[in-house]
Amino acid sequence: MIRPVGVSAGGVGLSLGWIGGVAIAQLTGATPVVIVLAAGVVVMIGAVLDGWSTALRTTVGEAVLPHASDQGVPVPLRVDIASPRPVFVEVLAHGGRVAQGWSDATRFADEATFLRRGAVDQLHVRVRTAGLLGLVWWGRRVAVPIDRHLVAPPMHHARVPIERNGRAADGDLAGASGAISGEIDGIRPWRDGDSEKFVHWSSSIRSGELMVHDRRQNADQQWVVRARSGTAEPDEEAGAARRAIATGLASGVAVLAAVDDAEPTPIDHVDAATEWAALAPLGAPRVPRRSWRDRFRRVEPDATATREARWWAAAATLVSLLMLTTALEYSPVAHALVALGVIAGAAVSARSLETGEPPSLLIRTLVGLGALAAFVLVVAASGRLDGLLAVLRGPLPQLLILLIVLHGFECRDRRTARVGLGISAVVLMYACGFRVDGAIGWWLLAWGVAFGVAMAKLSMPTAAARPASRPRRGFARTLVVRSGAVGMAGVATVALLAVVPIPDGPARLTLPTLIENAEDVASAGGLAGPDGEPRGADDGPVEPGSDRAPAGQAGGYTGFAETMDTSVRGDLGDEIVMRVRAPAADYWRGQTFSQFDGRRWYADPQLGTPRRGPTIDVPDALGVIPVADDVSVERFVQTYFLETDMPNVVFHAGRPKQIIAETDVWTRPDGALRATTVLPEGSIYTVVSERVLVDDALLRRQGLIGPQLSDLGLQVFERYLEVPASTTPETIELADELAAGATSTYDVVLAYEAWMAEHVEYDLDAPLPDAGEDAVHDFLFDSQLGFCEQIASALTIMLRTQGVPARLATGYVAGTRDEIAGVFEVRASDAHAWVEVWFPETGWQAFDPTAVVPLSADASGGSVGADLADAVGEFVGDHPLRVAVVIAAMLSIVGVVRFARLLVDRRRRGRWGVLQDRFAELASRRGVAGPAPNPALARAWTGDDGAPAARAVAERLDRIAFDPAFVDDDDVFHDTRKLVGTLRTSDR
Amino acid sequence: MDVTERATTQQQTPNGDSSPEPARAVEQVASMAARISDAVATVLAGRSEATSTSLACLLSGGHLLIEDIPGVGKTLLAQTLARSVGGTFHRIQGTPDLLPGDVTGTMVPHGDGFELTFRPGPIFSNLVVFDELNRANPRTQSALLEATEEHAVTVDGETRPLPAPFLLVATQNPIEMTGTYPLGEGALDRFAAVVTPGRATPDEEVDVLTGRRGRSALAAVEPVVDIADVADARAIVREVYVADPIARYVVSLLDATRRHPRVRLGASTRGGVALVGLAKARAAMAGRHYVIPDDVIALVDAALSHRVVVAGGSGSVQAGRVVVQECLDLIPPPTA
Repeated sequence: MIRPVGVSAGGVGLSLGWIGGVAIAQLTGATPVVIVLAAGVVVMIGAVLDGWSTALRTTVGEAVLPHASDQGVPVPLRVDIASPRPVFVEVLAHGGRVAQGWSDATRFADEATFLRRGAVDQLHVRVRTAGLLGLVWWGRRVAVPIDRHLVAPPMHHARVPIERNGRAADGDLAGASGAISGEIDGIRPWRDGDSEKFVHWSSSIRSGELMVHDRRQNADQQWVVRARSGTAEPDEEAGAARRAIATGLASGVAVLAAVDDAEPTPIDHVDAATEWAALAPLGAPRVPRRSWRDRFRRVEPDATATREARWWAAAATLVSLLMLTTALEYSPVAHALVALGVIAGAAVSARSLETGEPPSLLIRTLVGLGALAAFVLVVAASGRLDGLLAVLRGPLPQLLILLIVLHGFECRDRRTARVGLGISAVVLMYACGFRVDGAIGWWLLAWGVAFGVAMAKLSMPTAAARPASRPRRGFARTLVVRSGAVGMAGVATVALLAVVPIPDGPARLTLPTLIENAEDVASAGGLAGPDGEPRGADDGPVEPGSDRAPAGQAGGYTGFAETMDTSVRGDLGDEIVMRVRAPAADYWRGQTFSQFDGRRWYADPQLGTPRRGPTIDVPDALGVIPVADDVSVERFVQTYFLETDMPNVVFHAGRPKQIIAETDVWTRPDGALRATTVLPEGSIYTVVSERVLVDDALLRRQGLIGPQLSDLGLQVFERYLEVPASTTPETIELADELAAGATSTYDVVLAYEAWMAEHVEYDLDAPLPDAGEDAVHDFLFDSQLGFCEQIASALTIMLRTQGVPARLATGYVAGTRDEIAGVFEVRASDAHAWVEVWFPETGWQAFDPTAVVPLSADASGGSVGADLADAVGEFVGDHPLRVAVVIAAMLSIVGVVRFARLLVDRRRRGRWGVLQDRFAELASRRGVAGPAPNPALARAWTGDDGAPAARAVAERLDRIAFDPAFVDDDDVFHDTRKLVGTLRTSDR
Repeated sequence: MDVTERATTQQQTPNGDSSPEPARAVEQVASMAARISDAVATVLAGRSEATSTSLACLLSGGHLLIEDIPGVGKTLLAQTLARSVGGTFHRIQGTPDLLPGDVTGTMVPHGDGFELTFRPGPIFSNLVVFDELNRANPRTQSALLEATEEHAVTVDGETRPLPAPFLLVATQNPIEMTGTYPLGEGALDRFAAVVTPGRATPDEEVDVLTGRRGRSALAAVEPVVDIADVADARAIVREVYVADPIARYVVSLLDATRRHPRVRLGASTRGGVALVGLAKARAAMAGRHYVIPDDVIALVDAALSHRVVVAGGSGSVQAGRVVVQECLDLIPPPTA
């Protein structure tokens, strides 16, 4: 019966770390945290199952111990216990523990100390083992019958009643063995067999026959030892009785023993005395009551960590701390200090682990002073703080780092080491909450390796009688087994993550914003570049004749200005402009444009109202209407991490409801949001939006919008219905023609998109329209080449000719997703322009003629696992050669390592030594246990073909080592090597 | 078979001329040992290991203590060994009133002038079987000490050498403790080896009961070896080569017994010397002129168990065996 018996010291700390991770995942919505948590669960389950299977595969054989022992005196005990790895053994008799310790995978040999008097016919062997990570312990209890073992009381000096009876003087031989104890007891005639020493000559002469004097002797005495039952200390009473019996036997008295008034039993031998004393029913001894605390005693036998485990734990801590400090952009000096602190802590505690003494007073004083100084610095720095995020980024992690570094100096036992690892996991996840960069995967990998190794090393028995020699598995086989386990854990993690949705962001938290060193924008409510200078309507190409956007435009894109000339191309680089943490892809909208003059779009001149940060409720902009009851709306939280200096455009997706930004924001009626300060690199803000989940049917059922518009609607959307005067009749004609027969505006949009897909091509280098020419006409009919601004402009104007409110939006498309960090990397080249069409039931709806973007309701919410699997599959698919090279490199590293080991072995052991090791390994595979001399190894081969060869090998190996006359020459060596080779092949 | 033959011939070729002398000499010892053990086997049923340990004792010049329960052939083993070797032979029965003079011999008045002359005791022979040694009183036991160590006895201030070779085979019963004088550590240390023949198998017991073997066959044993040959063999055995790793292995075994937690007193250096001597003899008996770790392992029990004083073991050799076996498990044997 295998059952869990408990959790290792510090296991609770690790669990709390995991729960803390869940909280961090909830608060930050960071995907890497979810990955760490899932991997933690998988590894945990794997380790628990591993422990369970170890317990399952453990078999308890026979127990051997001597037939008798004294109470409290150790006797050797051996129990055969076969298990895949050393297990902890407790041996119990009569409910009390008599021995405990680690087995060596084949047996448990130790001393047993029996404390209860009596006979033991059966031992209970309790075997305990934990998995590879040593957290959950599994126990198993087996009853082992043994030959009766007597536990005798030790001799005791208390007095026990003894009846001394003299036996009749007559009837015994004079001079029997035993010392003479008394005077002459009587004179009697000689009997055959009397010693001549006892002839009483005077009587003999007197009586004329041979007389002997009979002396009372010890042998003629009889002792009846009566032990009293029911005394306060029955064991002492039994011990006293044993001593009395032994004394009697030693002085040659006939001894009988009895309990109270019972019939005495004769005892003729010391062993019988032991047995009698062991079994005499003298009443039960007082058994100290088991305190309830015993039931909760430590389940893990060893408390101290090994030095190796300590260093690995320090490595995990260091990785997590460095991950945090780099995320918080500490100075190199600070990094160095943190690293130095962790290493010094590990060194000090490892040293004290070795010596078993606490660190010296000097070191402790230095650490204390350093800690005090650091603490004062942190407190001083926390004087100027504003905002929770500032605390989360400033004093809180500093304090955390300080405490962790200090903890390292005192981290000696397994509990603290495990708690330390749990804390390092929390720190790691904390850092993951801050970091959005692409290196997270590598950090996680490094930390995972250190953490895993530290956990495994921490669970190894320190005091175990290490098995003298276990069949050493081949290096390559170990590698295959281990990488298989790691691979399976990885697959299981991805599988688990496949059911975990992508976290929906820091919805519950008003934290993720950080805007530092932001300059105010020069014009209130106006647009400004990163330099704070207004981006007014006049901003055209700086150099006449150039069709590229002027330098200084945000990301080289013209769309973030009051006006946008469709004949100016963006000068778009490939650098990452921002990272967006969001559960799904969407448009990151920056601006909308309503008015078009045939060449140039103009934003709505109404500035809206400024609202004070950091938490800003966004009023509904124009056209943002309550949706119908049967239309679902989801919350959609995005956090923007700016990687370059950006204009004061606040990006958002869907319908922004709330902005969390450390700045004031103008909320404009046209839906755009503008900060009152520029947003420099490193700025972070969060937008909580609503997304209307639309699908084909929903859009189609809203019919044709134009005819539905009331007078009020026409008035409100006047700017969005305005068709520029330059619009050519051909354009209108085409629009009418394509819209003819359609029953819904949605179908009209699809028809326009289909026409464009067929007739025009996307081309970033499209020729620009001639001056004065209508850009839409030029694009639709002349060049039929265009980029997104032109395509979107054409669609907008065509829709307006049908009386549909439409506008042009600019911003960024979602970008590529970094699956591990869980963020979208938005590059300058992701800048985009698209169309927004107003629907009466759902409000503004984005359409993108240049890209097929699924409608929000159709876009299935992904999962972290699916994302990861996709990423891996894509990587392998993209770089099959690279993957193959990596695998080949790993294999060749294995080969090189094996070869290097062979070389080192050869150098260390000599060529015959290598042969000897190979021979011993072959024999151990055949079941020879332990290091054995060569003839014993050779006996592993029994067959006609193997045995002679093995004997010959064994003899030569012995001769090379011990025979001075043996000449080592190449022929003999090669022949022996061949023999070993035949042994190896015969085994297969 | 052809494999081993080839192996042997190949070894002979390079090494044949370098060491013909020791090789031939140890062959003689091996054949001699084989003859003796064959002779013993005609009388003593089974228990070849005890026989070979006894032979190793004989060839290494150490003294032998046979310890076992009554009736398993302790005395028979000693007697058969003595008879098959030839040479002079005496048997002494240990009793509490046996006096040192009874063993070593005393000065007795002799002749007309009643001048005191030395009358040698039973110890003056090549082979002495001392039965039930622990029944003899400590005085007598210590009289043996000089004889066993110095191969000489001192009576009346005059030291008289014992005949060479001299071998003392003592027996004792470990169970019956009443009326005995357990041997002290010093006395036990004098014995090179302790063997416990143990019970014979049922088949062998049938042989004994039907008279095919056992005491009834003892009379038929003829000396198969001349006593002078034994002395020669001892000289050859002394020349058997012991490599440094082997010696170091023995030393670490000794050290392990001294460090063992349950041991009050570890094995002495004399124990190590005896062990190496026995291992040499075993090597020679196997026809080798060099000792291999197997020799040491096979004899470590016999050579060290009685020299280890185990706490709580009440002086039993069995407790020592357990300890020695544990020490053996602890130290890996040297290899190539």
